Amino acid sequence: MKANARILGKKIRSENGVAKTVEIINHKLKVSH
Amino acid sequence: MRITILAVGTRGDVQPYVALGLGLQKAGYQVKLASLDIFQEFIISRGLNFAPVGSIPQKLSQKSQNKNHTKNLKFHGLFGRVIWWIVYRSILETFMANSWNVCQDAEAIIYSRLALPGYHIAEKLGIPCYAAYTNPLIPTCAFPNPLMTSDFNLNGSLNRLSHIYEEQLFWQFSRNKINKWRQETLNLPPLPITGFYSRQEKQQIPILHCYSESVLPKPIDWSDRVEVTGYWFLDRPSNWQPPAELINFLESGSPPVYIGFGSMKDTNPEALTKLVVAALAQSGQRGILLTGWGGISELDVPENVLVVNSVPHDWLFPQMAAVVHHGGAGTTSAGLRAGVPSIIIPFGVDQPFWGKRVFQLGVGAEPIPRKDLTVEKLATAIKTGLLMRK
Repeated sequence: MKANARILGKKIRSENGVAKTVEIINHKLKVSH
Repeated sequence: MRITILAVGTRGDVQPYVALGLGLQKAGYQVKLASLDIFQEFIISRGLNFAPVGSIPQKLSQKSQNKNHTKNLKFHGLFGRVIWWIVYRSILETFMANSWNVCQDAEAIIYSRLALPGYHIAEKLGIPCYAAYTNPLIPTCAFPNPLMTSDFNLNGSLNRLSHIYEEQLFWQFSRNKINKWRQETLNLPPLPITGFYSRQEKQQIPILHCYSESVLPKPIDWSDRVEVTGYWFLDRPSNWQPPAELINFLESGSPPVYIGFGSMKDTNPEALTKLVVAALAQSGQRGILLTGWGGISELDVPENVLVVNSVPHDWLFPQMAAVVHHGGAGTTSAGLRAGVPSIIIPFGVDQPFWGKRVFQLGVGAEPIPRKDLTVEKLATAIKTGLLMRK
């Protein structure tokens, strides 16, 4: 459990959900205008 | 460009949208976060513009006080969801009116699960909109609706049915009020009895899910308009300093076990606090208890337990031996991010779903529903989590 938790934590910390979302919104707003 | 984010719910429900708002602001957008008045100070303190849309949670909270929590999980399951949407309907008119007021200058709208007026307002204003959810609520055969059940063993058709049931509950309970508002306030045509979900699909309204694909992969039957973006974490303010008492406690022994139930209110917080303190003693662990909104009370506790009111998860959790919490989407994400074992005690709503998922991933103990919680069960779960650390 400890090892699994550590590995998953590392994966999650490597993601940047806010940056990815801002990118998606930027793209969609450009398309819609 | 001016973006209005409509987000309501508990602190855990709203916090990810603050993180998103700050990201959008950094990217050059003018962002306004419209939420419940109790979050005004929190939102402004993080540097976002705020607009109030009401005081929903207290009302929901009052009506949700289930004096016999040993029998029912709150707002979860077939019957629980009916109760939820009946309560939601009772505050819908005020919420729609307030949402309409605060979105007048918006050029794009992002709306959370409970902030659905955002969809209709965007239609009226002729501006883009985005649905943004902390839970996976789009129909799929891959897993059930998190608000309905945590049974991951249902077949594909039943999984899809659970999502459609939840969608239709909301729509059928609120249809009359929403259509009346659309016609009288927004001057828009009413929507059909079948609801607006298929309409959103035709309109290709983008749907953003702020959780990690490492925790729950995107199902293959979701279209390209549905995104799983990764979590929206809001880290502690740069000037935040831990209290000296907390530092001293952490430095005075082995890593403690965190126990807190966030925005969950327990019918008997004193008894729950005694239970968790006894479980810590039985498992031989030090503990940090978070009072939250009323899950834990400030009783006299032994020296190896510290009670705190509020500490940022991103600072505290990596220093814990394990985290015990209610399993809300936000706290679950903070526990997983910290890389320590989780023990989830679901009270209701989406919490049993995330608890089961954490267990399936092998990063936490089997969830113990609040109604089934005992000293022995919690002590065993803590010991199991900690033994498996080695």
